[in-house]
Amino acid sequence: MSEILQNIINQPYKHGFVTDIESDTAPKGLSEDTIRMISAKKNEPQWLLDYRLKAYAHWLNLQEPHWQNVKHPAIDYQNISYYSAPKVKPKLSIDEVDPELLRTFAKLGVPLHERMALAGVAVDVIFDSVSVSTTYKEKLAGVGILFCSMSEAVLKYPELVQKYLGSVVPPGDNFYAALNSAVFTDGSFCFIPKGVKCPMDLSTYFRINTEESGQFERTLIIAEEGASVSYLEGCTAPAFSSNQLHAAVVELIALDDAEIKYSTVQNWYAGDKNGVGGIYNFVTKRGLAQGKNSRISWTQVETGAAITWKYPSVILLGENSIGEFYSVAVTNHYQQADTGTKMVHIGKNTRSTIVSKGISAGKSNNSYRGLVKIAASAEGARNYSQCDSMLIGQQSGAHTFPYIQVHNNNSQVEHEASTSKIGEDQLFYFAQRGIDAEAAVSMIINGFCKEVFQHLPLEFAVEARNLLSFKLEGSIG
Amino acid sequence: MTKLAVNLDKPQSLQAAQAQQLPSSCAAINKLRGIGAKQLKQTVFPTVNDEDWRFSDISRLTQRSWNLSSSLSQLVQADLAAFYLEEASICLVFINGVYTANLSDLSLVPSGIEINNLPLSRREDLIQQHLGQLDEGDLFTATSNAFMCDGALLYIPANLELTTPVQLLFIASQGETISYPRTLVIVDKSSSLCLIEDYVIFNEGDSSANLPPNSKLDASANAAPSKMAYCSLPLSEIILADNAKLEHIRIQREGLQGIHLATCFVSQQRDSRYHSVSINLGAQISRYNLKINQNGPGAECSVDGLTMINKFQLSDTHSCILHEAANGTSHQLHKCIVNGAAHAVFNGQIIVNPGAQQVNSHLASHNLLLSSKAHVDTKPQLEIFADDVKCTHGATVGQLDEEEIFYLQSRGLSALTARSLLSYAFGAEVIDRIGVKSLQHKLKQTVLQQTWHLEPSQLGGL
Repeated sequence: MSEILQNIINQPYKHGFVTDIESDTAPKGLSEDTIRMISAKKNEPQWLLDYRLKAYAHWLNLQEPHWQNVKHPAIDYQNISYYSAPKVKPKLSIDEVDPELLRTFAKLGVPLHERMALAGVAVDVIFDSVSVSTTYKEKLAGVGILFCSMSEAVLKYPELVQKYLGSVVPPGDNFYAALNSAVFTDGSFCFIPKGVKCPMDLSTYFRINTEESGQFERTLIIAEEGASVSYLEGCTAPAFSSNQLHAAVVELIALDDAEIKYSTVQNWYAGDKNGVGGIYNFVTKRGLAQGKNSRISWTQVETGAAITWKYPSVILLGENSIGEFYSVAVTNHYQQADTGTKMVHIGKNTRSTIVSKGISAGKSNNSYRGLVKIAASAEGARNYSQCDSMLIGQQSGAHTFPYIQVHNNNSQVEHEASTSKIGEDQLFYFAQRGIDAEAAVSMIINGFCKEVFQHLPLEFAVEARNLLSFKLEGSIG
Repeated sequence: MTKLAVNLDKPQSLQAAQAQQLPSSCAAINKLRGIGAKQLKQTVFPTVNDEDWRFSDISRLTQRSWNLSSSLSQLVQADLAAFYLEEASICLVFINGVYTANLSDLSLVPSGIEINNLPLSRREDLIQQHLGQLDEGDLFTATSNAFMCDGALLYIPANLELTTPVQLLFIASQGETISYPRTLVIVDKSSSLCLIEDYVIFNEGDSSANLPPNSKLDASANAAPSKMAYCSLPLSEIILADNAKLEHIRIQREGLQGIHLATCFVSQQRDSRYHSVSINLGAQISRYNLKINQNGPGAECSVDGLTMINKFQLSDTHSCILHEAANGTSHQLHKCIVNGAAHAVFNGQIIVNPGAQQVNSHLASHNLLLSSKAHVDTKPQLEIFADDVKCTHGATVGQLDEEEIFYLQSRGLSALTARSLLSYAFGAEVIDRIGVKSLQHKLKQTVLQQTWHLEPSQLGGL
């Protein structure tokens, strides 16, 4: 491997700085008192506290899952701080937000005000545990869209939150979902009323800033009959030598003819090149395509986190509903990813498409784990899955675990998978045309991921492409 | 001899029965039983909560106790006429797991080649060296070790090709019985062998209900209700030395009251070739665990399977091909035709270990669902730790193509004929890979008859 390539591969994580902002961090540890404290700090109604305590009681009886293809030292759930907020109280107007915080987001390339106006994206920014600002709220409110932080929604729209919270991912769903239900701090809430097409992309930016704090955000998106929304999510964290836990829950609900498109570019801190530090990204994301002709689409670009463990899923309940999953997961150094999707077909003539691209470099391991389940009631259901893996380097691993369960005889399920590497002959062909190895690799990888990138909104597609070349350039020797 | 009975989910009953067995005449078997007895203490009966058994509920095995088979059978050669194969002049017959010399034919075994009932063999050295070396340590290998009595030993010395196929006929004839057929195959350097394992049912004293392989398979099913369930837990160990070759044909046509849980371990050395075709037709619950370990570079294997089930049958195939060395190839084609309320499970795992570069591997799982209550769980699984490899897998689940049926109808075939012809063709692709002509013919007849007897209610829109 040439020296230049070595330099590029060893580039530091550019989001790894810590913002020296005073924060109000809860003491480490988890107990009923911690939960009561979080709930009290957020002035939550009694029903939510009860919900949290019930989830906590359930969590105590659950076992940490071990079936996933990842290895990590045991997590000490008592050594995590479950609440951390910037001390300077976020104000309603963006001009009053702590300038240090604004500088952080400028550094991250998240322009909060004017630049955002140009970009035409409404942003909800979540810093450690609380939402610090939401832009464009008034404009969205004009068409009836509710877009705010979860804690605000709990106070302002309790009946909506109470109706939908936990309806897709029940508190006892799995170990991490139960933990999240007990201690979730903030997140985004979005409600698109009947017939409204959201005029702009909505976006949430997540940032963990405090060492040894966990982030447990909760996102809830509801699209009523005929509504549609495109939602983007980005995440970064500073570089700490200890591992941090991120256990989020995202719930999507689409009623008749509604459409939700959820895109993620995940770039949590992945640990250094020796695998020290990094975020454990254990996330439960699930969409319920409840109505007829509804559509839920997940697009994800997973480049960060020491361990990624998530399966954005769609439950296809409504007739003719559609579920889609497009994913690129890139791992380098000692990263581990066990990611994929679940498509559960229940309604008639439901359709789903899965396109997953995994790239593993260095000593990393990348697994696709997917479930396609066709229930007996899902007559005429169709699924097409494709999962391709690319291996870069002799010590990396790529794995696929597709579960296919078919319970009726008039549905069609197809699954294809391949594993390959960038061939010497391909590089030779590029060299012949005067394109050096570095550029050639970048082009080949972009070509490999093209099917997924084209489903990302434009700005995200550019970011994803940059992230990818940033992560992988130089891993070809 | 007192009858020993075991409950598979009760370790005490297994251990007690193990201790009461009469010692075998063969020291290696006694040693293996000792190992098995220890393994029994560390294993538990699998449930659907275990990932490996998630889709196959075998709790029915625990609902009763099973007698360990011991008694000899009254069968004569004429009874088995339908099962013998004309190509296979060498044949070992085991009835309920017990070797039956008067039904077997070893007269044509060439000198130098050792084919015999394991405890009767004088090649104690080979047995000591290889028996029980490849096992996994799950409950079923543990019990197979702990209760081993008879078994087939096949040893082909270096540079020899045995042109005649060898047939191992495992006959179940008693209800409420559990048997542990065992097979040890050693093919030495640059030798080759064709092995046919055939698992069948013969209801003694009720010959009308028996299943000649070329008659309607349902005959045994219809006879089933009056018959008691039985349980067969075969285990095969296959060792292929450098450049050795084995054609392994495995036919499972147990009675529909039978439970068949089989395990096969294959160890492949440098440049060896292992070709297997496995056909699963019978048993109420069947499971086939196949583990192939390519230890030497340049090894090649092709693993083909056909499962054809109906009614309330459950058939599960779990295969694992482990590439430990470079330049290996593996090709796997598994097909299921599922009718009635039957349930087929397939889990095909391919692991490429670090350093196993230039491996070429392909796995395909195709499933045909013929009725609305049939269902399939399939999981083709790749685990790859080396970068210079070509690995692909594919899986499909579907039904017959309406356009193909229409095409055949436009040629004057009835819808029923068209459907059965297409289903037959789907399965015949696997059967065509069986090199023994008479067996291939018989199996094709069986499949054709199965598809021909589709009930009208199972034909969907017709």
